[in-house]
Amino acid sequence: MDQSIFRYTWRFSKRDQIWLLLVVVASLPFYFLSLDLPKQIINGPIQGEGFSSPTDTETALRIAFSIPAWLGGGGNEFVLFDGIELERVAMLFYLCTLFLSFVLINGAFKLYISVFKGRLGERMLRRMRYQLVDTLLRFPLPQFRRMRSSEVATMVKDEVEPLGGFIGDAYVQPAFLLSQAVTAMVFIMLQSVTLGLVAGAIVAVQVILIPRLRRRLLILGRQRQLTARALAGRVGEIVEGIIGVRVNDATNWERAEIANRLGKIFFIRFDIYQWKFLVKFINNLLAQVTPFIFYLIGGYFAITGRLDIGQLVAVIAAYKELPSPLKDLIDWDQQRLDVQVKYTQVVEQFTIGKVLDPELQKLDTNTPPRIDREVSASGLAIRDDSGATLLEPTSLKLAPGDAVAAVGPVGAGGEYLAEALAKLSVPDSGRILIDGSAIEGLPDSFTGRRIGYAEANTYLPQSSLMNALIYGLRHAPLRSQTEESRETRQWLTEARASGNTETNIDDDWIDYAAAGAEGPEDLLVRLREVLVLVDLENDVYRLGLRSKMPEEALGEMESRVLAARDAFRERLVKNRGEQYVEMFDPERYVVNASVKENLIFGVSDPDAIDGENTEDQYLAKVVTDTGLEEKLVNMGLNVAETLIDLFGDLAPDNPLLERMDLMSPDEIDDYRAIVRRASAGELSEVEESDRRALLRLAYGYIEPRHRHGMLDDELQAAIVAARQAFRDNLPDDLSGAIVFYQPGSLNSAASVQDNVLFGRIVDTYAEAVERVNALLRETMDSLGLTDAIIELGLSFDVGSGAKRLSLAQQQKVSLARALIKRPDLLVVNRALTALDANAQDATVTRVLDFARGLGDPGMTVFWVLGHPGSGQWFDRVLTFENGRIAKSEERSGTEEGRALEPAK
Amino acid sequence: MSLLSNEVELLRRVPLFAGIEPGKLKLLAYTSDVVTYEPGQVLVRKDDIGDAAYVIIEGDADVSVPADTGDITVAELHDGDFFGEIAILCDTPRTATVTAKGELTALRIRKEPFFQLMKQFPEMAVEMTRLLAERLTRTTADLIEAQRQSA
Repeated sequence: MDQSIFRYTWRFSKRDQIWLLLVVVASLPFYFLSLDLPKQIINGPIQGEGFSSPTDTETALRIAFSIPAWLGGGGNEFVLFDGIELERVAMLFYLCTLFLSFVLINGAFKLYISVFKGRLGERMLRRMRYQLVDTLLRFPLPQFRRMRSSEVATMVKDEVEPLGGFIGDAYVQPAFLLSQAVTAMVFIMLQSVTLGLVAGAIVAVQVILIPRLRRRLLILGRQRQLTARALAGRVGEIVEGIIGVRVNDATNWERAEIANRLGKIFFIRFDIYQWKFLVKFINNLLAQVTPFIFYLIGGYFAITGRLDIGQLVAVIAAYKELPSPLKDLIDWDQQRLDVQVKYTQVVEQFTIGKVLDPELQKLDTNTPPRIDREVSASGLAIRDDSGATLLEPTSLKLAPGDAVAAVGPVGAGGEYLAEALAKLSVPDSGRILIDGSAIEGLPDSFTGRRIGYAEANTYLPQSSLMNALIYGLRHAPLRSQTEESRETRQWLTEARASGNTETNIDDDWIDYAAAGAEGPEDLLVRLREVLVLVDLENDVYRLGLRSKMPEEALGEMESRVLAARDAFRERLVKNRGEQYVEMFDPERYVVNASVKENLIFGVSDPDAIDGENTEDQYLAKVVTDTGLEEKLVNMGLNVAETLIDLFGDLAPDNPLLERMDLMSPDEIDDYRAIVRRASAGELSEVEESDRRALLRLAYGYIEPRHRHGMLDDELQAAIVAARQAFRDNLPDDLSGAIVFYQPGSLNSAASVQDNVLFGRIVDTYAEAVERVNALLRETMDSLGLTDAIIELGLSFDVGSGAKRLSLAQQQKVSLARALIKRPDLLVVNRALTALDANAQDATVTRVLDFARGLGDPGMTVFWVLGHPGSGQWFDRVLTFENGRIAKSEERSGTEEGRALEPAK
Repeated sequence: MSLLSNEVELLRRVPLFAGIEPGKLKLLAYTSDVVTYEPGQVLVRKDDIGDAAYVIIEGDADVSVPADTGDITVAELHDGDFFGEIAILCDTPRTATVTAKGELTALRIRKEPFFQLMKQFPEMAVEMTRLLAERLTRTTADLIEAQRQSA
């Protein structure tokens, strides 16, 4: 990018800027005429000039021009239209209409110019942001170790923002203002050279002094930008590292750190503020002092007869025109400095020695050739930033289909070799050749598709699980899905005008063929295959079961889920497991659900509450209205007494407190006080807040779990009656927020599992949960619903940084992502550290089977093992020690190799 | 349905817990789970690592050890019987398999509450020691008898 914002702007918007200037010039005559017309209207029709008698007329619309003598015109006038004669009133109408039309024309010009400038600025802003991210994508990887993500984000988002507004004005504004100022100056000069010189001197002071004062502002502006950016970086770090902050009791250190930064920013900003207003003050002073000089000197000239009064008045009037463009010009200059600082700052950050050649990342819709000869490393040595050797010169050959394991302590060298094989590090010496070509010269479209790489701490951005998995299949838009329309054309034109990529994100980018699929229809089959390989299928299935069905799928799913409900019930009965699930029945109390669940008997969606009523408030009202409150408060009191009786004497650190349920250990003292107050008087006199606390205990009560024997038939019946009331009188603002359980219909707010079970698992039965889950899976499989459930599980939002997945699940996703694209070379770099040795080993064998099963010669695998025992499944095991291969063991033939004992 | 108060009564009839005040037994009961087993379901399996002891609330169970000729039932358990404590005391694998004969309800006492109680009530630890010593004597006697018969 250019060092100056003007050069940058000129380079990318030359034509637009020139056009804009032309339009401005074209607008000037109309502007001038609209200023001139009022004079004509007043002097002519209104004052009566040229209309001395009522029958006098004046000529309007006369079009004539004369050719100057030097062009051979000889002063003759060429008349194109003689015009029409108008009377006084008609002339007034005519001139006023003319005035109105000029006003309209001026307005139109203004509108056009503003819109044009705005669009120009926005385009340049878009271009700049795109270029920044484009450059970022081509940074050499080591550069990222020195960058703070939130700082870069601020640069792209906030710091370039004001540039857009400025760019439209970059050339036009100064040209326009200067021409105005110059005109005024020339006018003054024509009236009186002396006064012109005085005015010029003052202008010169302004023009020279003010920028000098502003130099300090510039420095401060740069400091402000840097400190603000660093602040954004620090806040980002706190968010990312919040666990470290908490476990080290470092919150106060962080507070002090941030306060310190804010202090610096404050003083910088305050300084800026002071300077800015000082400059403004001087500026205004100079502008207002000038008339004083004019009156004094001009007056003196007039008295001594060197200037007539008319000239003096005209000069003063002309000078009035001068400050406004000058002030605007100085403002523009201020903005220019500000923007230039911001621009330079950002550009500096993005100007580093060697970004990758754009050719290496060129969009390629073709399938790259396969690696069919060999991958070889020769004399490959790698050093870190400080120059310490990570990998001694190492040579290695991988023939297609080879399965090679690297074992050894962490940091012994295998992981660096793996990184180099994935083109993630630049070797210090030696090189890696893939089918004879040096890896660093191969485009990403080859290495990124033919090589799969998985490591332990892959960062997964927030997306659905599905998108996280197929991330490695999205290289180029392969199937157009956008219809040709005016909108899409305009969309494309704009992208082009801002130098953005013209690829459409809405097209289908998924490379189905790479995954071994025909198209969208059978991608799920391949995905499930890979999910099984990395042992993630069951997790996804369970996520799916626990998910709500998306609204758009409800119609289609309804009948299938209801069928599954019946089928599951049947299966349960057939396997004599009826007692494992207590069915929901609107007329009956569900013993295995809590009192509150029994009262509401539905699922609430807090987001859908549309009004002030919350579910809890309404529940409290229903409980009061149905007369249930006394009973429940009494029940809560009973529970509180029992719990305090049981747990009240235990030391606060006693682990048994964790099994208390219903009440948290630090609430014991509160409840002790509540029980004391409540037992002192009548139950009906218990204070409102105490009642609520006791009700809360009662709400959570589940008879089979807590076993206080407090839910007799009468109370159960009363609760079921209240349930009815809750449902019948539901206020409007809650109506969309609570979906009730109803036999024979789908509950759109409940998960698939709850919809199919339509009841509660009776977990007092041994193994009830396991058996129910097994029967559920059988039911789903037999009805062909498993695919739909897995799809639902795949739509699970993994959360920011995939924090909603466990570390093991994240690592499995990372490996699955490398596998789904069926690379020719799979590099796995201690990718499964969160799994225990057995699980790692099982995954290794499954993946190797898959790799060998992919036709002849199959997938080449280089696996840096976290657990050396799995080495037995590979063709070759390399033992790394101190950055070199200490031992290389061959295994003859895969089948025999498998029978061998683990490498010692 | 099993209630806390009934469970406390039940626990008091177990010799090991006989000397402990009812309030503490109630705590033990509350922190334990009531589990229902179907006929033939296994409560503990030989050689598994155990994390709980059991008191049978209602029902009968067979204690068996696997042998070449199939499982041999060595004892029967009934209402109020307490078992499974060895495995949680010594972290050893289960010494036998216990199978429900008919429908059976048991109180599953987890390791943690059990140890907490032992710590707080030395008399319970003494009772435990006595019980173990008794069993050792019996086993030794059985062993001598067996040796004499085979001699």
